[in-house]
Amino acid sequence: MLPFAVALTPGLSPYRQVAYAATRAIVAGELPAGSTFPSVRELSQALKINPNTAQKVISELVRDGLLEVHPGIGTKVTARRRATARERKALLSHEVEQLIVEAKRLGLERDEVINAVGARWSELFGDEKRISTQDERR
Amino acid sequence: MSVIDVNGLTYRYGTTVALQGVDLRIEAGELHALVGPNGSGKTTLLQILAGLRRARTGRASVLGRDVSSLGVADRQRLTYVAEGQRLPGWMRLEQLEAYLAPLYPTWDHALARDLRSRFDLDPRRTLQAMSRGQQMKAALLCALAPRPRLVLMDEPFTGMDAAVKDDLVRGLLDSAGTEGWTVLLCSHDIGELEMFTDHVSVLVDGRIALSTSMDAMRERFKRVEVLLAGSERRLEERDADWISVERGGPLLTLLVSHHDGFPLEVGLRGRFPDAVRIDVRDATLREVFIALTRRGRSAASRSVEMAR
Repeated sequence: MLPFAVALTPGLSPYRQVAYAATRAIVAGELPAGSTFPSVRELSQALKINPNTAQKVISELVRDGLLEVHPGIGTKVTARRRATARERKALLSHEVEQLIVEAKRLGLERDEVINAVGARWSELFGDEKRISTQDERR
Repeated sequence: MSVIDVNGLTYRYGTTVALQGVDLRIEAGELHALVGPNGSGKTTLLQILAGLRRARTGRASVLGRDVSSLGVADRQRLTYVAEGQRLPGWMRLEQLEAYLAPLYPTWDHALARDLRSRFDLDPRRTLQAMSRGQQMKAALLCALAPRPRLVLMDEPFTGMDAAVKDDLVRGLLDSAGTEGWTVLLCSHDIGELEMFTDHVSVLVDGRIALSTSMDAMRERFKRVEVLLAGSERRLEERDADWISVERGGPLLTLLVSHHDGFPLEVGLRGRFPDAVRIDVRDATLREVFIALTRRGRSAASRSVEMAR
């Protein structure tokens, strides 16, 4: 059993899908700092993915600072570090802009997007700052 | 040195051409899928690589040795599981193992035991008393226990239920995948292959239409949906890199082979300035396979037309 959930769908690189699911589980605290991350073999077996793919996933998470390899012990989730100023700026400008453009194109209102972001945030990370959604008000 | 190296291989059954000028290179450690429609030559190619058929035209080598001169020592390092592999039904599994083990100096009894428990096989059962799925697991066990450097498998998943298929894939990944053995397998089960193989070759009409790593395939082949503004608009010319084009009302679905650095979205925007929307995503192996197969067929029918 893997300590995080992934449902692989064809058409997307399995490597991307697994790396995303693991990142999501780590940032959401499902995999707390210090917990053991599955080995290449365990990932490959549980998800029926190629060991090379599993290896790539682990390398990427190590590179991103989410995991660290302790030779002879295994791979552990690192204590959460704060993002660099550059990483935050990139997320807050580029990716937020993409979301806004797409939302505008689909004719969504500003509040709908902000509420949806808030609701999703609460769902993933618990109630840090609750913003009620349109659905809940009805 | 490539584990499999095939150059200009041609094979005929009487006047029927099964393989025409196949080139294929497979490197050590690849889990390589060979896919193709029925009758495209997959089994013939595997049989030639296993040294069971001899081609008169072209060259094929495995493990650095020409297939026409494979000796005992070479055959001990390569195993082959045929489609619907027949096993001697009167034997118990432990008897089959005891019979095969001395033939392979590298036979690993511990691995055989592991696979037996992983596959939930009873060594005291006779093979004829086993279900088709259990027999296939027994055949895979016998192909992996010699710790071969190359495993050739023809349609190992045919007729397997999902649970047995899972066992087979996991067994294959665990022993061959993590040990870095080279595996070439052909299968119709494209969805299954897409997740666990790292390389794929597509055989269409006896020719290799594509041979690539899965990562490079996802980089190169894109599925594009274009929602055109007016459904009356005609599609004049198709681009050379569109492998398949489907039109349903205002929706145009393309499979594009994209290899230059120029962003595909930008190119498509220029091509369809009035499009309501353009969606691009990586193509699945199934989509690439179908598009290449159809293109192969239409190319064949075009050449027939020209011949008339």
